[in-house]
Amino acid sequence: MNDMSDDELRTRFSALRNQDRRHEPQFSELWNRAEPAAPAAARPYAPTFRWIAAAAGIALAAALVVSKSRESRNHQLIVTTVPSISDWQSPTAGLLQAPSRDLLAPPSLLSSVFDGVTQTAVQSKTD
Amino acid sequence: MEQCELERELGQLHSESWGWALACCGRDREVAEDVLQTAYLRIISGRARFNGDSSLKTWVFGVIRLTARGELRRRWLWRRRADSETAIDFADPTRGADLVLEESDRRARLIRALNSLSRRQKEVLQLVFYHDMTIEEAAAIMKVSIGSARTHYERGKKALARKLGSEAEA
Repeated sequence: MNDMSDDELRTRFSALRNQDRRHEPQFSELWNRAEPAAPAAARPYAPTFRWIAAAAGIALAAALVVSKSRESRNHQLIVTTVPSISDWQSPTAGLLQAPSRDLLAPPSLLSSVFDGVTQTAVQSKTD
Repeated sequence: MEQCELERELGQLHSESWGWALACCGRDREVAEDVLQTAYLRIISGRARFNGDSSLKTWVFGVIRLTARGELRRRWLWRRRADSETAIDFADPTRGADLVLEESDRRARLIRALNSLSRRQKEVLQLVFYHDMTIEEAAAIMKVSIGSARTHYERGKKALARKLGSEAEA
């Protein structure tokens, strides 16, 4: 079943070739049809297209460079306006500056609540 | 090579070129004619240039093969688009509807068997048995290594013989 010789295959292909040649179009017919279309097919605008493509590429690269530089400038601005963490204040910090704050504050260490009273009494006596 | 000389040489190769164009287009005569004409157009216009690296026949076959692949791809895309737009079932251009009717049974069986092979196997067998080329020449046209062409040839030949044998038995 598998032992088809090369000669037999050649014979079969030869029959196929003979059949194909009966339907073969004339060479002159195809050649003459192709010949008038050849100058148009030569594509004289190909270099122009190449130039346009190159110009578009350059424009794209320039646009990329400009956008990148703008982006980095904006980034720098943002960085300079950011306050340092030690300077940061709560937005409600102003509300805590009440006059009674000093009175409510705890006394300092090694001091007495009578310090103020005794000092003013001694001062008035000396006066 | 001068235009007149090229024309004469191509005229001598025309029958072979026709057979190869048919093989590259699934034996559709209409497509093969378009492909061959386009290949000639490429040659006349200088878009395909012969630089003498191989024989003229090898080069022309390479141009036809590339042209056929481009044409089949273009037709396939067009058919796909047309299918999606109109939902009309177009006939497959790689199969002539009248093929089986008008060809002899023996030839039809060979074509059927060839169509069951892979593209590379079909190409190498066509080039070797139909165009009497060597495997090296076939490899140059198919743009594959000689080893690869030989593998396709051996496997293709076995598969073809098996297919033809089984059809003959049936």
